Amino acid sequence: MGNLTDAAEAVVVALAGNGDPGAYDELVRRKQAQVLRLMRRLSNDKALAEDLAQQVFVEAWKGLTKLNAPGAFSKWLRAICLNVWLQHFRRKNLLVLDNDAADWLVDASTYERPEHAIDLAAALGLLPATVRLCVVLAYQEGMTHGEIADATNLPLGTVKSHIVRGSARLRELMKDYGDKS
Amino acid sequence: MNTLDEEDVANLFVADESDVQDDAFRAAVRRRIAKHQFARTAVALGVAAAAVATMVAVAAFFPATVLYPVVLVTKALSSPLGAGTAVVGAIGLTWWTTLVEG
Repeated sequence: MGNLTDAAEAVVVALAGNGDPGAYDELVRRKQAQVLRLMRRLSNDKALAEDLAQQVFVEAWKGLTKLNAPGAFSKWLRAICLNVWLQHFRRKNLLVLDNDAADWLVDASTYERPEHAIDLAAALGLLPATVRLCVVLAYQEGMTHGEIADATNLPLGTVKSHIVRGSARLRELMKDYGDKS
Repeated sequence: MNTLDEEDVANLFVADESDVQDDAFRAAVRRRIAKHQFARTAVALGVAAAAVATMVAVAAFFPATVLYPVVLVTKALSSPLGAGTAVVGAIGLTWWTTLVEG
């Protein structure tokens, strides 16, 4: 098969599903930035994010023959990202499910030096894992509350609460960032 | 002091995006897939080898087991019904292959 760089995604997915290694390599090339970005923001750990992102692509390769709709590849890949991340964090018992605000409010005095402006990655890292998950899925992936609840098996009310309080916390943590950037 | 609103937070996610093409990452994915393929092939070969070894062992230690299907067929054909069925079946097969396929 010739150069796949300009081929439509559905075509590349179909070829990869038929076992074309060049086509799957092209899929990885197209999606790696998106997957890495999602994993980095969810994981707050660059090395872990890369490891999980690689797992995502291995899982996608294993399941590609079962994907009936090549056009739905992006959504399907995102579902794999969430499953891999959730499995990892559940295995490590790192998911905070408690909705109590007192459990996760970071002491603002930790950042007494506003000249060291906290960026988005650092601010996200200060949120508990499930709050960060909901905020990232809402703002980065553009998922609705219902979609997030379905994807994460969190109650809808919890998702809404996490997003509202998570974004409020981000605004508070980054309030000096705009001045310094 | 800068006050961020909801839209600012959303824009921060967009502004923070930087697409980096990482050849090392793709190479790492290829290595993991190759490892997985190797493991899958090794398991398949192992299962096949175990199946063959089992059959050889059964034939070696229980030869009557291997001969049992042959004994069954011989018994069936030695009865009038079995012989008649075999003859009709042979005629039918000949008819089908000659007249239908020809």
